[in-house]
Amino acid sequence: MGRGAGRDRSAALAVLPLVLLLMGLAACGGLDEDQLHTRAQTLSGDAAEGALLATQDGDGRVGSGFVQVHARELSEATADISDALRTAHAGGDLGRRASRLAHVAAQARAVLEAVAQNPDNHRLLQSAARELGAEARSAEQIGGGP
Amino acid sequence: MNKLRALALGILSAIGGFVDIGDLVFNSQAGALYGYRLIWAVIVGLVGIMVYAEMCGRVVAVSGRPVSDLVRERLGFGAGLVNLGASQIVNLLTLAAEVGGVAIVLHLLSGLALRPLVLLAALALGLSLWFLPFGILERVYSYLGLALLVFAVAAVNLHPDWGAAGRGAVPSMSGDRPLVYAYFAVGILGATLSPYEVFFYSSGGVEEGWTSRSLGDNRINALLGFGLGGVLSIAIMIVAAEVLLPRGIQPEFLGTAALGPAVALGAAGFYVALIGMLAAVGGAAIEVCLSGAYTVAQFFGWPWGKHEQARDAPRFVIAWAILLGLATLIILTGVNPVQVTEYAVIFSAVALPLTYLPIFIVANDRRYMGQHANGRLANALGWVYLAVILVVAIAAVPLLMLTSGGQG
Repeated sequence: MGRGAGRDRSAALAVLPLVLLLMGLAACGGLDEDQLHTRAQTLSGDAAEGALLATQDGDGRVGSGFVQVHARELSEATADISDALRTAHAGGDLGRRASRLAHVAAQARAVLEAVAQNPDNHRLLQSAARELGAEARSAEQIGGGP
Repeated sequence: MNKLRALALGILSAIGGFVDIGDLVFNSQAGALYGYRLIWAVIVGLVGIMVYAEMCGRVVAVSGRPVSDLVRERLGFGAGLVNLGASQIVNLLTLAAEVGGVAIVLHLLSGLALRPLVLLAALALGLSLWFLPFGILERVYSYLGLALLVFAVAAVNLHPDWGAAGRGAVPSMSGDRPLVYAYFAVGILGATLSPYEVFFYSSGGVEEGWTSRSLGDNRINALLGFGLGGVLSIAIMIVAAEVLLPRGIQPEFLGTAALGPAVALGAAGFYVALIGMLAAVGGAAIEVCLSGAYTVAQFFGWPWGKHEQARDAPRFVIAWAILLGLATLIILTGVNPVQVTEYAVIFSAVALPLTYLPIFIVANDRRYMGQHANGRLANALGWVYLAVILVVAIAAVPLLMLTSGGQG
């Protein structure tokens, strides 16, 4: 009985690394064309919304408390996209596009974070609106095709 | 003046139910993705809620008893219990979303941390429910919620294509991601026909002491109050179609809805929209909380109502306090209120037949209704809507899964 239990434990320990590896792979996840397209669309929308937010803030049409909160929400959403793309498994052209999209997401995240921290800096808001608009277009382009 | 006062129940039911967090989220998303093409879903839902709210109000005015009380008596304990359980699960999810929504709007207005604001929102709602009489409660939230009319002003100011909006009022399918389109149609119908609205409306009629002399007030409330809610829903969709769609913005957050009035009307539009959202979502929270407590108390035959002193209806008070406490705990776990909203709306769509079929049966029963039982028009519309509700209930969960919650 005791020896049997020991054998079971040894077998379980032998299988454990395999289970952990599979869990790790599952957590990272693969990436297909549709998923990349959906992420690109979401990122493009978040960046475009950030650009609109910065423009409206620059024109004094929204409150700075709102800008701090909403820019941070968008920044966190783009960070999630960036993280998901960096850990996703994809080779060839799809992998290169995922990497470019992750880079765009990281840039958008940084700009949105700057907007959240400086909602009253008009010069920064103007450049942020331009950069986020460009990032929205880049994401759209990357998601649309090679 | 008395007519205006009598209309408050309809306005609160409509603004709190029609234009709650679910409506703000689904209509903004639908407008941002499909422009005007889903306006028909709001109109179909609007006529449905008008038909069934009128039935509920008529039942109250004639029998002096709320619908859920009669449903239990007419259907028996077992079927009534299933009905109660389903409606309470949906109520709890919806209330959690509304409490989270109130906290989010306060967060957006103040910039303060979200979690303490969840507690503050729950406390403010609890104090409102404890201290304010029903009449004041309904008037404060319904008239402040009228600030949402800023969406209608913004929609007109954005000069939409009224011809395209008119074409959107005609039901159609979309070639562009048809499953996502169907998901949003079901979501809009589910949000519009939320079960808590009719239970609240019916119990509110008892709170206001409706009699058969109130049948006219009931009709005005059902038509004008809910009609106003429908106009606001369409306005939210048009603003999203004009401001968000051309920029490729897909709303994921409640705050996105406030950007439309800011673009159209400037800072004044932005702040009025946020105040309207706060009142509408707060009103919805009050409405769902009371609706849940009403149905439980009526089912078990406990004394109930805001017209009663707390010591005379203690289990009713405990019921709304428990619902509010549980909903607050759900949001304090850190779950995203917008996602809770989407699940609440879809599960409410599943529970629709359990709410609307018993109402239809009771409104047709001449033992309760006498000469005021459903006529031909109410029956024809009632049958049509039961068919619509059945389709929506069957399609809701498969569409949620197939589209990953409208993601595609």
